[in-house]
Amino acid sequence: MALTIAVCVKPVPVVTRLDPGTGRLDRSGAHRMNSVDEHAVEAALALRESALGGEVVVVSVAPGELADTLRPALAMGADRAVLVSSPQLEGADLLGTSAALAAALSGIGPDLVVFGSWSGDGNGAMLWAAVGERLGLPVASRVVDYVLRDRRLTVTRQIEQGSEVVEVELPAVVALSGEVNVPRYPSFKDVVAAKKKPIDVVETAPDGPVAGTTVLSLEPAPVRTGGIVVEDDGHAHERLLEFLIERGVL
Amino acid sequence: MTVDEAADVAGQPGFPHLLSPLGVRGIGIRNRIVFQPHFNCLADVHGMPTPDLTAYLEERAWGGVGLIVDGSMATMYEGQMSRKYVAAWDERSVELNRRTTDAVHGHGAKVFAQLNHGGHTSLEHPPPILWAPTQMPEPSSTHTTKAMDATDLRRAVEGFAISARNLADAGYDGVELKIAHDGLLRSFASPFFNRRQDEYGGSFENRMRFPLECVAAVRESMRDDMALGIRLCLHEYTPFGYELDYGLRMAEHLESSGLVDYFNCDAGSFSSFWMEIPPAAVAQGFFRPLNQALKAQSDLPVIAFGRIKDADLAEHMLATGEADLIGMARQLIADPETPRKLLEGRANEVRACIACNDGCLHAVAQEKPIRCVQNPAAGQELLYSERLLVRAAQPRSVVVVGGGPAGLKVAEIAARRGHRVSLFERENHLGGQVRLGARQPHHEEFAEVVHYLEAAVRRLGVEVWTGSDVEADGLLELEPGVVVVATGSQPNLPPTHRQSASDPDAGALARERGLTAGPETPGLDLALVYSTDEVLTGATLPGEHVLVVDDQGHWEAAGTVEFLAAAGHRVTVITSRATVGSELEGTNHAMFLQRVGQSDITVRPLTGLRAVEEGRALLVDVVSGEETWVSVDAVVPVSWRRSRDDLYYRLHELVAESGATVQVERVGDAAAARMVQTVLLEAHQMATVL
Ligand SMILES: Cc1cc2nc3c(=O)[nH]c(=O)nc-3n(C[C@H](O)[C@H](O)[C@H](O)COP(=O)(O)OP(=O)(O)OC[C@H]3O[C@@H](n4cnc5c(N)ncnc54)[C@H](O)[C@@H]3O)c2cc1C
Ligand SMILES: Cc1cc2nc3c(=O)[nH]c(=O)nc-3n(C[C@H](O)[C@H](O)[C@H](O)COP(=O)(O)O)c2cc1C
Ligand code: SF4
Repeated sequence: MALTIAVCVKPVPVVTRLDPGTGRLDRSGAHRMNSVDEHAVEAALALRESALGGEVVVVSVAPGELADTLRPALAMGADRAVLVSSPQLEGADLLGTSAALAAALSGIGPDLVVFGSWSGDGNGAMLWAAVGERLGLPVASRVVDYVLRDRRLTVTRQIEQGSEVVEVELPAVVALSGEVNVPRYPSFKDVVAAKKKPIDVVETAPDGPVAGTTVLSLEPAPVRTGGIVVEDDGHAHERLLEFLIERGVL
Repeated sequence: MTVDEAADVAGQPGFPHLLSPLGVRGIGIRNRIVFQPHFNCLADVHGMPTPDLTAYLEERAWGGVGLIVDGSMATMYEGQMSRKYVAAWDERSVELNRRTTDAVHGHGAKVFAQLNHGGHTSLEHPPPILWAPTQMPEPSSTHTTKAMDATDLRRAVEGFAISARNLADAGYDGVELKIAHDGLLRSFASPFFNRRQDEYGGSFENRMRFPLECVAAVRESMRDDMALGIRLCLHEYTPFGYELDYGLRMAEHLESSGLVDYFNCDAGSFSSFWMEIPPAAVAQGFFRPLNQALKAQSDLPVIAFGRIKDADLAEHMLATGEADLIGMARQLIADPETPRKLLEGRANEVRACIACNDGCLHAVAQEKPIRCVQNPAAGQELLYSERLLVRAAQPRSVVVVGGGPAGLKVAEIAARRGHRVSLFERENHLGGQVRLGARQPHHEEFAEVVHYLEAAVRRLGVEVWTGSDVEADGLLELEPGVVVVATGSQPNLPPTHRQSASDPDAGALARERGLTAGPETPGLDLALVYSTDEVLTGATLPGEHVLVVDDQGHWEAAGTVEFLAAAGHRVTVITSRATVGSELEGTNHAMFLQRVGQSDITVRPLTGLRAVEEGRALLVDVVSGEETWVSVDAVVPVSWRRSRDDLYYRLHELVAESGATVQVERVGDAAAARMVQTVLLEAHQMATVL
């Protein structure tokens, strides 16, 4: 049973900094693949191995110049990458990004779409849901474990109260937590081989608006103050207790 | 927090106290960071400031510091602790010093100068005549002093006065007198060094008389708008010296004279020099109680000192009112741009001082120009300042093999110059030997060499591949313009030794070609022999008694001794030198020996290793030639390492065969095993010409 598995990955800035001018993330610096996405790639590769074949395609929506950030996924073993890039997508939020991704995924026709649960920059943790919705596929999120039998995927989901075991039939969308596996290190040969793997840059944008939200204001986190230092003169514990009681902590 | 996570949460400007201005005697200082005074040995042999000295201080002013205290400078020929102390008394220094004050002011910082008479201390060998209140050597020295007579006292006061006048003419904003860890003035104030029975000794007031005469002379000799400060040793940290209560009394007395505008805290003496310029074994913020105590009693602005490198700690100290200004010497040697980075919300880009003293103190104590392990440009800003980096005319594809300090530095500088850089490291983590060194007790801050570099290369978008062991064959397929081989070095044990299982011998080609020599002691291939790398990566050594052979003299040997002792082994360390850790910088060496003295470690200097057999080692007394067998469970020989250079030679051959135009270079330990300071400088030099 050869599977086509798409892994959606996101290039994120190495340094996360807000640009007070635009109210957006400062994306001027270097980017790398979102770290949880490495776990998604690992899961896709492991599934392909257990299914004894198939294709792992990395899909991303990002400016074309960030194509090289997908290279680690190829070195890990993904077969090819598709990068959806268009000037119209600049400033896209969930609306535009999910539409662009869904369109690209439809072109690939995957049996399984794998996401990392969240990204280190925007941290919306919703893209997988929106894409599942657009594709009309079942979605399992916060997945910490999974087993594939035939075309049935049994997943363990982390929920507030504990864990939940759910079964979905492929095709489906899953969003994985970082705990799910340990991503492999590509060998030097893999890296060399990855140089030759294709990254198709697709220059299309979805019809309609790409953003439904506007940032109105941006407040940096409050700056630290010196805090209160309690010198221990033998009664420090009493002063700490008072402090906590005063603030209703205790 | 990992470097990655740290990069994720890059700071917004968050140092409201540290970055706020302060007036000292009406002199507006733009923020609270002070570049502490230090002898940098950048004057010429006549004590004249050089362009290097000006550039050194200008770099810190450009980097955003609020106040620089330039010096120490000498007040007279007798008392010039090295011929390379700026001769402030000499009129010829005025115009040259003016270049410095102009340059510093040009970047918006203020600059004071520190004046010192060396008194009973000197860096020269043999020392010139040493002046003191009472004839006796400073205990760290074997050279005795001259008890000053009335003429000497008068001349010394004049020296301060003339120098202060010259400094005023040179455009300094203030003058600081050193009643601190070396020099004449503290020796007068000290009940131990000052045994005089005239009006300059015998009582506290009398002992303070001479320092106060100098303070008064300085005040009278400079402009009214100039500040006068005291660098004050608050605690001598010697068995015979004074402690904090006395230091505070001195401060009170000086303050009550009405002549002083600020205090700059200090501690230690030549007999406790590890407290003057504390190495990493002294905790960060160790001197806070001294600063706090002075601040609590004084109405004057107080500069805190000593092992303050972390901006959060500095901010906290100001916010809680422990001090008014934060003194940093070595942090700003290691990263002149620290204040600017804080200001620009780039706190996570700061390169930390690792408190090694290997570049700064070690150099100037030998009267050599200041250097820094972390900052290749220190003391040679005119050649290597990062401000001089230019974008490469032709961006090239640079492949770096090896993620130790050398490879990382090449990657950093090459990426900053606009090259496309990929870096390969066969371990799962970057850092090379630095990761091993940082596992040794009291050596943890060594890791910050790599923390800075790793954050930098990632921020700059260098493609970093860890867990990726490079082989020559695949390399050319990456179509590099340049390959920089930075594969480091390995312990020089016989290739048949077990070590090769984890770190395959990478010197075979060199050995074949007679380009490297192996160790010749019989028995080094035996199973009871362990390399430092094996020890530090967690090998379990058999039995209790471990023999460490220190043929290296620095941390690789000394720190491994402590590592093994901490792991519960009975350690004997031998060295054919006169002392174990012979290459350690002085403060590190002194504290190492103190710790060894308090442990069960057995030290046998002047002893060499002749042979190893199962369960025993043959030692030789290098003076008498006498040989003895000792029973041992394990042996850890530490000597010069061999370069991992096979890849370099293979690549050259491959490039020649293929006819490709690929530049192949090697850098760092891959060329010759050394220390981080020279490795980073070499890497910087290489990357600037790629
Ligand atoms: C225990 C110890 C303590 C030390 N303490 C100090 C100290 O206090 N002060 C000081 O100045 N110096 C110290 N040193 C020395 C200092 O660490 C070295 O001089 C420095 O690390 C050399 O840097 P490098 O980058 O040239 O080599 P290395 O640090 O050896 O790094 C080389 C890197 O290349 C990698 N590599 C090798 N072959 C390949 C390959 N084929 N493919 C991919 N990667 C490869 C290695 O895994 C390694 O990470 C110490 C050394 C040790 C061992
Ligand atoms: C190389 C070197 C030379 C120094 N020389 C002087 C000096 O001439 N006068 C002085 O008051 N302090 C001197 N110091 C001490 C520093 O001013 C400072 O107090 C000390 O380095 C501890 O602070 P830090 O941890 O911020 O470096 C020197 C320090 C160094 C590293
Ligand atoms: S040489 Fe070492 S101690 Fe001195 S400033 Fe540089 S990093 Fe700090």
